Amino acid sequence: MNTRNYKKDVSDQGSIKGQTNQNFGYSQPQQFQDGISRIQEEMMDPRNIQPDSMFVNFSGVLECGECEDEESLRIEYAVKYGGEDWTYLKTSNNADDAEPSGISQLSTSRNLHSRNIVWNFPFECNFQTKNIFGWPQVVVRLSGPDFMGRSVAKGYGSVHVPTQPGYHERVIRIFKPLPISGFTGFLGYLLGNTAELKNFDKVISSGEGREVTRVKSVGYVKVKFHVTLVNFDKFGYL
Amino acid sequence: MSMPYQQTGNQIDYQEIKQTKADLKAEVHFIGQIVGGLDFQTDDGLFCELAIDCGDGWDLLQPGNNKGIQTQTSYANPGQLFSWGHPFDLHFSVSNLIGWPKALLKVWRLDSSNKIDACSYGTAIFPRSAGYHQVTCETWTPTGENLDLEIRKPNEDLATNTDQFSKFDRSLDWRFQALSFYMENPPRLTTLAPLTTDKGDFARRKILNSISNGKVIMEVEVVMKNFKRLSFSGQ
Repeated sequence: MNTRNYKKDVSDQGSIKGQTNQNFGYSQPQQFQDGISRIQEEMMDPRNIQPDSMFVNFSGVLECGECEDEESLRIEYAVKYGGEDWTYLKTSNNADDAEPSGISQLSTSRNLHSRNIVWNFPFECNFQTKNIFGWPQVVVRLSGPDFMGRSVAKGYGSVHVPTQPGYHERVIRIFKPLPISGFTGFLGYLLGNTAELKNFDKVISSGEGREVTRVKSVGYVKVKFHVTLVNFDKFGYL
Repeated sequence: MSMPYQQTGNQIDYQEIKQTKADLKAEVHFIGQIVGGLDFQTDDGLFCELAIDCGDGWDLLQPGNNKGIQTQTSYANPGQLFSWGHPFDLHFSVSNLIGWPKALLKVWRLDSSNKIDACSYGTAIFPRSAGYHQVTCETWTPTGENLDLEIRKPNEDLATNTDQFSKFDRSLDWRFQALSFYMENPPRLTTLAPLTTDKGDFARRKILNSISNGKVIMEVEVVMKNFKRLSFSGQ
């Protein structure tokens, strides 16, 4: 038992600093100094507290990738999640941390024999949620210079964040939208207006309205994920 | 066994948690994407349609409408993946385990004259254990009906009058195969019933002849709720 007998006699007034027994014979409210009762200790044990939300913390690296015959590419990512139930927990008050996204450096393949381009671009996101629906996905966009040096999109792809805790590796398949006709494609190539997706993060993550788009596979990107889940067992998952 | 305490704000209140019925209901989330198609051996564009088939005890909570999925049209070089990359997020509430969800896949072909036609069919079963799974579904293209009376006979509605056809090779329906060769469109199934197992018309599948086609690759993460509590396996 951790309780301490805090009821001191009137004669013992000076022994505890600042504590005087003003209420003669009147029981003190339960104000413990350093010892706490077993009930309060149980109440503060996290295993006994029913939380009201779950947390998903993940970090990872957009490691490397290939896109057909491209030498220089940069990768941009955005994490899309279900709107109402999920809250993105910001780590800073910067304007560019409002939504989880980022743009990497422009990287080049090492030599003519390999088309492997390394970004090693780290990311970390923390979410609070009450519902599994709307699980976050990482949507990527590869872009690089065209023959004139203008930055154009070279491919898109998406992958869901793993739902199990621990370390996971995933491969994102990259595709590129095709132009409507040969003429549009040629003109776009000259002017730098190649077929691109506006608001690529919304289009690719939701899958709505993509029935009429035509694409071509162009490559892949390797991603590494490290996932931690909080309170999932209290809600019946895991 | 200690009582659970509700934490409201900074104050710890000692209250009983009322367990609602929803806390004890099993729920399953299938989160993933249709990655693409492989080995289809065609120069045309391909897209995939997915319909979900599940039993009566399965209630699709989210997304609200179950209108199925249609992916983008993808082109690929020989040996390359037709990349569709279509994400999906399904939330089921399970009151009866019978009728575990299946994905009924139909691959369509878009040829150079912008005409679409059926390419192949397949059925993939969503995984029954929690975690990450890569589901590969081999697909098949129907080539016609089997005229073999031994197969059709037990069912009166399936048996047809086949006297005018060759008695040597009753298993191949040359009409359909000739038509599909000249018109370049394979026969289509009129209903998806031969793909499922729990509709009554699944028995009609035995009269089909088919030819193998490519495979559809899906990545699915399965998250289960209360399966362990209710002693269902898989979590």
